[in-house]
Amino acid sequence: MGKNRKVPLIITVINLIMGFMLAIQYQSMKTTYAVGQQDFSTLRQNLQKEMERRDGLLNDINKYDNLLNKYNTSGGEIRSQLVEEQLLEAKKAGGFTEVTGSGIIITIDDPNSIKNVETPVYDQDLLDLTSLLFANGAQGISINDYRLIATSSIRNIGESQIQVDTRPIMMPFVIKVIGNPQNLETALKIPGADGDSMENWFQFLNKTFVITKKDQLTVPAYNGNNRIKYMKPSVQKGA
Amino acid sequence: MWLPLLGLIIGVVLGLFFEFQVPDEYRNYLSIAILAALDTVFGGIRAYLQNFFDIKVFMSGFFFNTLLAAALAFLGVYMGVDLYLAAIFAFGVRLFNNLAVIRRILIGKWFGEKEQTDQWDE
Repeated sequence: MGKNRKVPLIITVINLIMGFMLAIQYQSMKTTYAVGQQDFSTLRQNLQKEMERRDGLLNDINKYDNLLNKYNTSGGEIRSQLVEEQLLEAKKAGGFTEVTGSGIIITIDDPNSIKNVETPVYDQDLLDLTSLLFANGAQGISINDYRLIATSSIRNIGESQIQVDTRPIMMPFVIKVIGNPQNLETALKIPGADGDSMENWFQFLNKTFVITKKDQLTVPAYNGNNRIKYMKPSVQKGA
Repeated sequence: MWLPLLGLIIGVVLGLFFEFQVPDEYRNYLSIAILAALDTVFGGIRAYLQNFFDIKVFMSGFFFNTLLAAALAFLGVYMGVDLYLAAIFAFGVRLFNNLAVIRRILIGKWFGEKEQTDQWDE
């Protein structure tokens, strides 16, 4: 019976622990009651429903993947046609096709019998001119039928010789520009940053500067070597 | 007999005083553990009244049942079966059983001292 005297004490200790647990549980539950009690089985049912929905969506993805695959394999003609169109567009933008349209022809000539010796036209003058034209909406420019492309160069070789993409050009310079004729002409005639218009500058150099507006004008294709040898498109992640 | 009740009250006050919250995902385990503890306590009271109380059995029962119940619930989550329901059921039945025995013993003590408590032994 001596053993039994300790019993209430032990039950007390256990009760203390249990009371502690109960209070903690009560406090933890209090917050969820506010949020809104949701039955465990209801949650499980919802989960089941959502999983079924997900399976359905996965099936849909599969179906459309198959469809896309089918289109890709059967519709070869349409696809190659599309690619060709895009290629043509790229070529046109890059200057590798002959293009026609409205525009202007600028003829720069030297009235003297010995061309371009006194007050010569330098590469910089022509660069300024073409930059101005491009800035005002020129779609394609050729100088003496040498088409300018993205990598084109205009530079002086020797005293008064100008090369466009390593091919020498001689006076008279005939610059064909495709674009809005009115805009281009205006751009050449209004004064620039230095107070002179482009037209005035060439006249200052004792050159004739003739602008002819055309409704129909052909600019030839670039015909140089443009093999891309050293550069590769850099592969970007997620691109 | 009032001492255990006092212990319970002190425990509750202590728990409220601590303001400790169990994370949502562990709440199930705690509730099961509480049920197991409750069962053990009532079992202990009953054993005490029936005079076959053993401290070792009681103490081991308290901790073992509590942990086992929580472990069962834990296992149930991973098996995708509501295994904690089994624990609730088992402990619930035992709880009511114990309460019933305690009630009879107390009634017997109250009204007829001469009646033997042993006849409700299980």
